[in-house]
Amino acid sequence: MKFSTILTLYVRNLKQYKRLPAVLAFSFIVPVIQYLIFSNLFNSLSDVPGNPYGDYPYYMYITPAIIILTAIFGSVNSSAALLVDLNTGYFDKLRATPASLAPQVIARFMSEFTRLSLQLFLIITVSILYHRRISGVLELPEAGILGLIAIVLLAASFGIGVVGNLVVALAFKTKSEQAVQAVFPLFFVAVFMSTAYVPDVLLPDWLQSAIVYNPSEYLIRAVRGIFLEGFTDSTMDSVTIAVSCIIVLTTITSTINYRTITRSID
Amino acid sequence: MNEDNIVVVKDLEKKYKSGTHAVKGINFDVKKGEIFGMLGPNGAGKTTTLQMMGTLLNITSGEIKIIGYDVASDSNQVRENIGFALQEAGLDSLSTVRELITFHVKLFGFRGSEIEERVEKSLSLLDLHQYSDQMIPELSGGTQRRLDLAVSLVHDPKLLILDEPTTGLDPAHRVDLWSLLKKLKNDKGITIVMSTHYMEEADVLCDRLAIIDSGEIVAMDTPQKLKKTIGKDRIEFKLFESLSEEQITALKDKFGKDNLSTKESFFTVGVDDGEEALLDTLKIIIQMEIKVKGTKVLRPSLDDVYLKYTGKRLEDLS
Repeated sequence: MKFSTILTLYVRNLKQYKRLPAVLAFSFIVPVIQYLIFSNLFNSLSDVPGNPYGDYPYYMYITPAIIILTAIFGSVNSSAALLVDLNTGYFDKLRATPASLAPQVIARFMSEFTRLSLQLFLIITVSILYHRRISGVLELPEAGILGLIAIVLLAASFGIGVVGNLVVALAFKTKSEQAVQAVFPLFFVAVFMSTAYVPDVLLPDWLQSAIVYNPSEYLIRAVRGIFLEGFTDSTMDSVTIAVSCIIVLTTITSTINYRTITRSID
Repeated sequence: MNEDNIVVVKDLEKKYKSGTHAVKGINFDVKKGEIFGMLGPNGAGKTTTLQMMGTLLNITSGEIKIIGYDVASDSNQVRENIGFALQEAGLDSLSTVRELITFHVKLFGFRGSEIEERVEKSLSLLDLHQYSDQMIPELSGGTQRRLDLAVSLVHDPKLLILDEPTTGLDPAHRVDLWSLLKKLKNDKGITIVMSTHYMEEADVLCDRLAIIDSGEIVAMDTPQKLKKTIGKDRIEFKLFESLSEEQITALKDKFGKDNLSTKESFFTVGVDDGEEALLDTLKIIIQMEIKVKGTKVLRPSLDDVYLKYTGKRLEDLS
């Protein structure tokens, strides 16, 4: 497997996106709309007594949730270009060239990671500009540029590693866009059943107990810590847990993905 | 391995996890510069065999060597030396013609000015210049097939694998593609392994042919020799009136009992070469005062060959 082959495929994949504007728009516009609607609808949540994040305006509280949602939205759509290749037979044609199975899958994940990272930077930019509009101050979060890069890497790794692997496996298994899109509500619910929109003390008791089993919760805590508080000790603990969670889940989903793909040629 | 053999297939088997035994221990060689065809109906195992040759499917048992490389263990080397056009023209629907060819040239490691040279060469070889900036879904089926061949040939492969290359094409495009494949063989010396369920295609294009039925090769030779196994050419004579007993006896004496077949106002005579023997045979029959209304030369077809070896007509199965 040559790196130059992977690079050629990677560049080709990136060029494909300009011909899939709906995919780009859908995975970007929906989170932005949700950000703008939710930040206005639930603005008064910051004033609820007992809210530990009462010092922050609500639009800042939900920014990490929108980042994670963008990562998930973007990752579910990561199978769109792959499905085009699978359904036209072009994926198989390429497999009979130096772009065999592994280089194609690796290049696909690399390009999806790049696209998703750019989308995440865009959504962060929207939140910074929104903050400027409300407060009149143009400022970066506490953790600065490094913090923003860390947020993007965490969210994109979760998106591509966990969600991306699952949807790619599903794409190979079903070769159906509808089947792949059908899994989106599962992830959407997972984000809702966390502290993404409401701090834990304001959640119902049963949900407070349930969120410890929700992997996206650990990611949200890490991203929120970096975004609101910077690289504090408690943030670093959250980041460590989130990274461990991503590694474990990515290992599981990669194994599922690998088995599904290799079965398709056996 | 004989150095002239580009492909050597030994005891090849494919059993799918579903239990389907698609290929049952087949053996064949393909010589350099040859067009080798696999003729059989859908489900015979042709595509499975070609996909194993092209590294697209795992082999259950047996081996395939292409230019000396083992398909299972040296798959990277195999991929660098083959061009593969699948049954459906599998092309990137998000590219233009030029973008796709350029991408494939780069995939095979060409860099710098060589990229543009090879792209231009491919566009010229397959006569695609006028479509170079068109999006692929806008092209006709025939043009997509040509493009599929173009991207399969950008690296000058030693072996071209074609899975039913003309399926879905209209007769005119089919004949164009046959000419192109012959040109590739004659001008570039390229070796071609192809599958087809069109007997005419197999007859016109293939130097040698394997007839496949239910995952097994039931016969393999040149199309001419395969047809010879059916028997002689036959000349059919249509008559104004039925033959009398005396005429039948006279014909049997002249052409031999085994070479004559009579039925009401028809009779046929078996000869080695129908077209060559037609005039002489007709003269003899006229001299025997048999009134002939019309004649027809009947030659054994590959469908007759298929019927002989499998008990089925390929025309009915395809």
